Amino acid sequence: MVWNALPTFFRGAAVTLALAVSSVAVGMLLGIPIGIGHVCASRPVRTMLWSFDRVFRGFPAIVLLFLAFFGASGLPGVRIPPFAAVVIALGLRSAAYQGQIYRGALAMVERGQVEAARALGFSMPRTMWHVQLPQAARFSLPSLSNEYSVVLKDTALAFTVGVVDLMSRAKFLAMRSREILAAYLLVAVFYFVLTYAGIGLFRLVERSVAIPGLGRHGTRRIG
Amino acid sequence: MKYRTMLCLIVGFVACVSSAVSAENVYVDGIDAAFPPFSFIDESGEPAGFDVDVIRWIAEEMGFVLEIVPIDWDAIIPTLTSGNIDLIASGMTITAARSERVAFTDPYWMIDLAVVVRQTEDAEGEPDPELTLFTAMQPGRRIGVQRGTTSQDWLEENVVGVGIGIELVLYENFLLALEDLLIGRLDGAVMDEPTARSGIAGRPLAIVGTINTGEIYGYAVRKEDTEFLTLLNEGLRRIQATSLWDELVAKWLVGV
Repeated sequence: MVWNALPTFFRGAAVTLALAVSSVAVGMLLGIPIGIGHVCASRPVRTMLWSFDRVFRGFPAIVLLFLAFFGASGLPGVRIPPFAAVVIALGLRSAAYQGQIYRGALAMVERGQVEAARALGFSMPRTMWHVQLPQAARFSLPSLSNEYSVVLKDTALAFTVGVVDLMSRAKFLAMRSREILAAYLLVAVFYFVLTYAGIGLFRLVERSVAIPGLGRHGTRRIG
Repeated sequence: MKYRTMLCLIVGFVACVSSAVSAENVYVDGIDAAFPPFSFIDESGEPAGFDVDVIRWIAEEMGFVLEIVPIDWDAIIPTLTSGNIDLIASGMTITAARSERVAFTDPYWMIDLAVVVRQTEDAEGEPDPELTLFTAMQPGRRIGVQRGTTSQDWLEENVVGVGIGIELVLYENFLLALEDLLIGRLDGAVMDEPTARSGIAGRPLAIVGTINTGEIYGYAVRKEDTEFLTLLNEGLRRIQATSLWDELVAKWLVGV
């Protein structure tokens, strides 16, 4: 019975992957401006960003999930579908974490390079775009693969708001077949594969965009 | 520019998903994914069970499109009231507390609660339950129930509430309670009787007694969905008048 359920696990894995990728994407969309903001913005803006940070890193993922799903639905006329609720909750949380990742990555860029660029007449935005961001992007990749790994596991909560993901497939199988251990071991294998496939992808990217000589601060050296 | 495209994609995606759910005449039925014989997910990942068969028949007869989704039982009523599902057809008992939050259809089935314990064989090879109904309900016994069910309510009110010191252990699902009972972490478990019969099949467990609560099952909808409620009641009336009803009862609910 466990083997018959394998196709359902693949369907669940597809949903889980979609949730994880969407959430990380949302996190990136918001996290990059937030990271830059932490470094460059004015004090009031930075205070706001820290508040965002506190909220979305301060609560457990499941609390954020329920707030997104049930809380918003308390407002009249607002109905958030389960998949969207998960992406919003995990995405915003990821944005807070990614904001920190990019802040750290920007800090890793040698001060001397920024000063040299400014001395050569680059404006602040230009320096950011041509000098800081390209390097920070490469520095952020290892932490980003970590973030993907974490978000992927957090999606296991999705069934609590009704998204039939990989974890729920394991539950159904466990209940139906009563082979609790087998079902959960199987799902563990799936999560393992999804995690390390993703991390492997990140390493490929790291290698392909690596700048020769830019090795001291964290990216892998090539060769 | 890339950010704008991303934003449009995300908004578009959310819009598509929400519009798919709120399309004309599609009603979403939330079920407990592991509540045999009334509703469960089978090996191929499809919803199955008595309530699933009945509600599908009603949907076809009364002319609405039905989508069945498994929902975590703990969150099922909030999921209904928040509009993410439209109906709960999943072996749900009509209670006063629940009726304050949702509207129920006419009753369609009546059940009692069953007390389950481990069972071995005695010297003559006869089945020998470890405890009786009464020895199971004594101070110090660990009794498992599914969270948010009438079994929990009954035990809290009539056993724990009157001072009998059993230890009530709550589980996400009654099957997990049965697993713990088998392992020895529990002395007994209480659940709806048809589901108890389904759960003990093929295992060294026995029902040693029933608690005659005479509770009735109904389908739950939001309080404001009065038209849908009338539709469902009419559908129930019709199916109960057919021979299909007796067939389904015989298939799912008799002698599991």
